[in-house]
Amino acid sequence: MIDGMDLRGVPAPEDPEAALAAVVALRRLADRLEREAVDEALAQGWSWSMVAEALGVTKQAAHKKHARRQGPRRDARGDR
Amino acid sequence: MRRIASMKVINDLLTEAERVANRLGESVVAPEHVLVAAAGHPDGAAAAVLAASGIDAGMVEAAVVGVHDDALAAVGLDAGVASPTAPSPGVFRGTDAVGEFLRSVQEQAKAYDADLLSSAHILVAATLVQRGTIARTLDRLGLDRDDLRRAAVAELGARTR
Repeated sequence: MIDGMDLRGVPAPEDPEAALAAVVALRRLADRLEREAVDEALAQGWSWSMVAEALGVTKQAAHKKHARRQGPRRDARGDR
Repeated sequence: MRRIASMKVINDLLTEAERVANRLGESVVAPEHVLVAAAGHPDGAAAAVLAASGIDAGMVEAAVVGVHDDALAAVGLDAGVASPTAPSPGVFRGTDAVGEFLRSVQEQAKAYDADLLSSAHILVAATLVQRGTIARTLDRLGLDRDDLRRAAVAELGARTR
C-alpha cells in the first residue's frame, strides 16, 4: 500500500537534475499506485469499463495494460 | 565474440533484472535493474569488482531503492515499502532505456575485444552513464565512476589471460 502522501512542493527548476529524478520516482510511484488500485478494483468486482472510466482511458487501453497480470480466469470473465 | 554464449549471458541478466524489478514492485525493467542483476551474476566478474569496494548485489539494490526514496522525499512523499509485483506472463517488458543500455554494453564488449560478454561489461557501461538512476546509484554507493571503470576493465583483462 502507498501511504503517508504529503506533497510539500517540487524541486526548484534551477536544479533540473533533482527535478528530473523526482519525475522518474513519481512516474514509478504512479505506476505502482495504478497497478495496486486496478487490482483492488477488479477484486472488488469492478468491470474493465468502470476501471477505464475511472482512469480516463479506453476500455481497450486499460485491458491491454493490466489484463495480463490478472491471469486467465479474470481475463475470461471479460467485461462484467 | 561468441554470439550465442553472449546472448545467453544477456538473457540470463534480463531474466534476473525482471525478478529484481518485480521484487521492487515494478512491472517494467529499467537499466538499474540490469545493474543489480550484473552485480549478482554467476560469472562473478562484476561481483569481484564491487567486492573490492565492499559492495555486494544487495547493497546495489538497496541503493536503487534509496535513490527513488530520496527523490520522493524531496517532494514530500514517503512511498513506503513497495509490495513485490507478480511477474507478468508473456513477453519481456523493459523501458526503451534498457535497449539503449544493452547496446552500450555490447559496444564496450566490442571495444575491449571481448570473446564473451561479461557482467563486468555492464559495470563499464554503467560508469559511462552520467545522469539518472544508475549514476545516482553509483554516487550513493560512494563509487567513483572512473575508478570503477578502471577496476572493471582490469577484471576483464585478468579473466582473458
